[in-house]
Amino acid sequence: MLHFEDFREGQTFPLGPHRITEEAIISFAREFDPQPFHLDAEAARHSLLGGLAASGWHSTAMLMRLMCDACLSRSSILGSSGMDEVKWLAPVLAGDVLSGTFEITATRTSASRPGIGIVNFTSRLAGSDGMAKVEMTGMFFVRRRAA
Amino acid sequence: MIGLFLEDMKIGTVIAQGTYAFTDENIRAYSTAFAPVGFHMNAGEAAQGLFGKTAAAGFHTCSAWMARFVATNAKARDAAQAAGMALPDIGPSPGISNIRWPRPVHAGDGIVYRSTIIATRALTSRPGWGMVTFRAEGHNPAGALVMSFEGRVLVQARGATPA
Repeated sequence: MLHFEDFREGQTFPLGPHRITEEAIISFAREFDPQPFHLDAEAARHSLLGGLAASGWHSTAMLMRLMCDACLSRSSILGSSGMDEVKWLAPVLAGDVLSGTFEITATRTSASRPGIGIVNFTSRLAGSDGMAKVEMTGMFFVRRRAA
Repeated sequence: MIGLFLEDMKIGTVIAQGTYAFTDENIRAYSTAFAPVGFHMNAGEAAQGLFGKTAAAGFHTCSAWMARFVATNAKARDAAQAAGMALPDIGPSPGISNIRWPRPVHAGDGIVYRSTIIATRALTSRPGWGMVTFRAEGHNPAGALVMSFEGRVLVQARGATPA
């Protein structure tokens, strides 16, 4: 189990690779973002996105999932009060294989809650051609190792 | 966005988007797929954590905003089309910022979503299109804010004459 003390500024965790399927794009879009360019490959070809593309919320959710797989699921993470920014830099298309990095940018202990630490990060995903797709900057709370 | 061209978007306009019902089932389904960490998945761990009981993933509460946005937008566009009005194209979004989850969302909470237009500008780089900036919010049944962010989306301009 990873605790606050196991996260250090400059540390990076690899993300992916993860292949995005047409089925996953359509399934997420039906529930949360039912617009034609996320649901219908033919309609998507004629849109600004240029092909069946994952909802930005889906690519963000996949990024969070890959961060869980990289380390957060085996950490004492307690939650997050928010993220500074999510950039949707290029469409995530059916068949894309995403990989990237989860980089720790700062760590500090909580002044108000002695048992808790705060970790800041930047995470990035790119396609197999290296094109940047999604970037997120944010923070999470994690337990400190018991003294 | 809501069937309006860029020029018809007024700063300060509040768009009511209705309610999304969070349930044990949809919280578990989202967290299993996208946020498999103890405090979302396990009641015992949640009890020891910051939220006291199992809470929805933060981006689940944002994705639910999107579901309400699309539903509200579709309704407005259908009404505009029925009235014989021209409809703008909606483009992609470059991203969101200042995402905040000030309070947890639990099963049984109906979250009421709304968006407020805070800025509009024509794009010199893409004639015929503009960027609309809005603040999205979700409030719980007690009226407390549970989710907010600033979003941006491309919207077609009415005066879509080539530069």
